[in-house]
Amino acid sequence: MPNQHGASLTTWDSIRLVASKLREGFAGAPEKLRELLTGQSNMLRFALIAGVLIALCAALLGVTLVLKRYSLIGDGLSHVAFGAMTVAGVLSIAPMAVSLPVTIVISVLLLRGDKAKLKGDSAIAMLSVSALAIGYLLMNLFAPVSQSSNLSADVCSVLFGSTQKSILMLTAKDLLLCAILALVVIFVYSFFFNKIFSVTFDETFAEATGTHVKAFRVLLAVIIAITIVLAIRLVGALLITALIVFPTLCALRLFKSFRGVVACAVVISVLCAVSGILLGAALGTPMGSTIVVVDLTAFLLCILIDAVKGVFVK
Amino acid sequence: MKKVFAILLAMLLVFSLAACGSEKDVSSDAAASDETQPAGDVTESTTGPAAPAPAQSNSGTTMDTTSMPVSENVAAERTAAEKLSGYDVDLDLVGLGADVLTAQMGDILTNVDQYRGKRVRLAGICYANYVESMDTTYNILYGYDSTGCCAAWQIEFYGDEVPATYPDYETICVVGTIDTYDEEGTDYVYVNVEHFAM
Repeated sequence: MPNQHGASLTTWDSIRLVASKLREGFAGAPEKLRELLTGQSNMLRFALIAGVLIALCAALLGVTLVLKRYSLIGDGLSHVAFGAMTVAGVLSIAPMAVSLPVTIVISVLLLRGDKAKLKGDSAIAMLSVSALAIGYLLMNLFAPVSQSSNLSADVCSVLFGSTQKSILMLTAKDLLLCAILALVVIFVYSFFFNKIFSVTFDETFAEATGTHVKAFRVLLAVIIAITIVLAIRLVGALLITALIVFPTLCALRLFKSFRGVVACAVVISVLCAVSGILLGAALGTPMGSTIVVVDLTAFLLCILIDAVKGVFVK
Repeated sequence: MKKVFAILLAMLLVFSLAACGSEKDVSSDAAASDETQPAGDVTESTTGPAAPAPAQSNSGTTMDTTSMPVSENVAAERTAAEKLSGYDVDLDLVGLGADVLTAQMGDILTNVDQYRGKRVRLAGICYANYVESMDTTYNILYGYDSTGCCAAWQIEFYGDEVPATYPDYETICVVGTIDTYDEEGTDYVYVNVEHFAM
């Protein structure tokens, strides 16, 4: 495997090189993090605040989505958001001004329920790949006149949450907008918790007891879309499903009640997001991927806890 | 089945913890492997990779990293940075991960008012860019994110300590203050270099 200067390294040398880099990263982590957290730049502080809010929202909605078998909707909507951001870039409009309304509309269409002709995973798949393809096509077509100097960087940033438009590049205005949207999601979810609970498990029963199910479906679709658009900044469009799915799956292993699952999912999601951000900053790894790996590790630990619990508690 | 699964997972966890070795093992391996490592491409660098200098660990004691394998550019960056390690700075950008550094440089270029006058220590790759239309040579210091392709940062550097000529695409380290200069109505961010090391 050639390095940047063209020298060939054996596989073993490459592994040792990476291992030593990680080891040094861990050794110097407290000092580095202290400098980043207390220093001149607001970069890491803003990233942590936004990360906590986004992880919280994703966990709340993840429970509903996973239980309703809509786990991949995050993927679909994030690709739609990517396509919308491309259109915004081509038209030189602020990305959020286009991606948020478009994602909300598509989310409402996807979560319409029985009335849709094309529903479920087919609809998600169709919209997902179409939006991704259209987005990338537009980026390439309009590249010569684009204001962006580096298309690969832009694509990488949005898909994987890497450097340029990542959680580390939030301005105060971005953070304020993120905070407002996140608080809207949290407020709506908390205020309508009981209704969301009944709509999640049994829409027919909810309708029979007087809940306006269609309205709640639309409300859920809107707050899911908001959360997805926010989460793109944290982990990128391709990894969003992890934020939605993993905390819920971990919580389902540990708790049986809806309230317990929601609370546990929130705690796990926030802890994993904070750990991922701090680890990424300390070790120099991409934050989106690091957060997802931490989520995966938490999930494996929960499987272990559940298995051990199952052995000793019959 | 559950018992077997639990035991398997527990064993995996134990093995992963048992993989933590001592630095002594690494250093003896490194000495052997350095001899067998093929020679690098020397056209871009006039000197071979220097032995990495000991880095400071968080406990304040020096961690001997001379035995740890490092890539050529990391070794060069360490050598340059070590020469300027004694200076007091407001922002030490040496040793940050590539992604964090790229984001930090982006922050500096975007919010320069927040950083103007701050003393920084920064390492990267240098090159002199002569622009004929302006009849000016711009000293550029740049670096990439961890993938080496997606995002890059660059900043200009000037000062009496900067040599009049230097080989392009070498790793250097500078200590200086962040400032801006105006050229044809546009502000450009640069590092006013007080100390320079290659």
